[in-house]
Amino acid sequence: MKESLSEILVLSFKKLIPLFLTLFCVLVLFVPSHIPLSHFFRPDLAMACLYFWVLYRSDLFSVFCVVVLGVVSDSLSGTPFGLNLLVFVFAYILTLTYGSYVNTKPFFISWVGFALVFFLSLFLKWILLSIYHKMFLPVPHILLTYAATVLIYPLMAQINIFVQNKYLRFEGEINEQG
Amino acid sequence: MLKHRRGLFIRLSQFRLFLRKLVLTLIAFCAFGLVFFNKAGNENFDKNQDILSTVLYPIVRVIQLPADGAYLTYQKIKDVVLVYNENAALRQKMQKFDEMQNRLHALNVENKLLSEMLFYTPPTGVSFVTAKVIAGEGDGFSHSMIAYVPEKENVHKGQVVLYKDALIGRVDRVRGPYVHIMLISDINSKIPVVIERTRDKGILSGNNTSSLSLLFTASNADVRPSDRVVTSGVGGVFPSDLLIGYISKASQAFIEVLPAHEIEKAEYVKIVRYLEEENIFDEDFNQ
Repeated sequence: MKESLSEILVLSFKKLIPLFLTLFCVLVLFVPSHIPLSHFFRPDLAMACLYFWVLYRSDLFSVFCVVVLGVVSDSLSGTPFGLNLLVFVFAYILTLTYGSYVNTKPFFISWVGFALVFFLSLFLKWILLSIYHKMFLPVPHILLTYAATVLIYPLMAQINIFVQNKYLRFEGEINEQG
Repeated sequence: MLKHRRGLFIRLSQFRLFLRKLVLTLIAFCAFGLVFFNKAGNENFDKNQDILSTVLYPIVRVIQLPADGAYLTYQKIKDVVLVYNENAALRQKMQKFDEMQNRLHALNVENKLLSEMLFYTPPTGVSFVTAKVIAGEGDGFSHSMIAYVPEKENVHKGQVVLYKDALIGRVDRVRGPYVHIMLISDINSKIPVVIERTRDKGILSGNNTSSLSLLFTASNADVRPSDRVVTSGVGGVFPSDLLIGYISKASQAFIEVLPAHEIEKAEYVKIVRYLEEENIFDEDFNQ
């Protein structure tokens, strides 16, 4: 049975929901809170989203999405252009390669998986920026970001699960049938 | 036939997997190259970023609106609670200001007379552009800010950015009406400063934390906590005597400076335009 143009458009749009959601998280990261020292506790929501979607629905989160995320993040950030893209690609490869070990396990295991992937990504970012600036960047503030992100992951996962069940389940069912 | 088709399918999926790995590796290498290519400060590369920034900055501005609304509501409630105490304090301050105003007037007259006697040339005049902060970044990796200024305003790279009366950074990039500001707490920020009380010189360096480090100060410098740190004007990038912050910790090995104001609270910042600088700019334009 052939699908009508509107159905194809709706399906295509649905496929882009994970990207839009993650992009929104990237943009939210740059909204000023005007609260002193709040920057250091600001979780990296984009990384949490990226991990979730690559782990559970890698069919909806392609390399293209990672590139878009990286470029947008680099354009807004004060870090050297390409750094965030590299870190996102690194996290993507890690999750894609080792995700199969955790995606069928209880949620707690995938949470630990996220903590590991995010730790390695932050470490890569830290080491690259340290080489770039020829000095070691201060670690405590990065650890605060790490802790905040790992703690908020279950909430982000719940939001993503809600989006997946509400808008993308139909797509999943089609895939299953296929 | 079925076996042949299955074999073909397996080979095709293997090829797709290989292709995906190849693309990922290529992107990773490109990104790595970009990071260090960027360090070389290529002008064409900067121009290419313009298109992206012009699209993204307005989106951040829109997303910021609800956050701004929530913050304003919080601020209003806080203001109402604090208004009575503030009024009492302000009345006391007003009395002091009245006394000080008279004293200031007398000093002004005296200063004018002395300047005339010394043939002193006053520093160039300044004008300000007020910019609204639309995005901020201050994690362990970078400290920067994006502000919005009307496009007709003459803002360019290197201009000084103030919050209240203190220096907080300088213009790093200008993308249409959007200005990317490198904050003094960023690891790339190095400012020649003096300690106002003793006139001891040093370099104030950001380190991606909320405090700053004072480097290259003479080992016998008399530095005490709460000393004011101001720009020295050496190098000509920053004008002299702009307040940056106060000494918070001072030891032989390490001097820590805290910014004069909490930069994260900044909603509006002032971009300083020196009239002399503007004239040079106009001359360049006319040529």
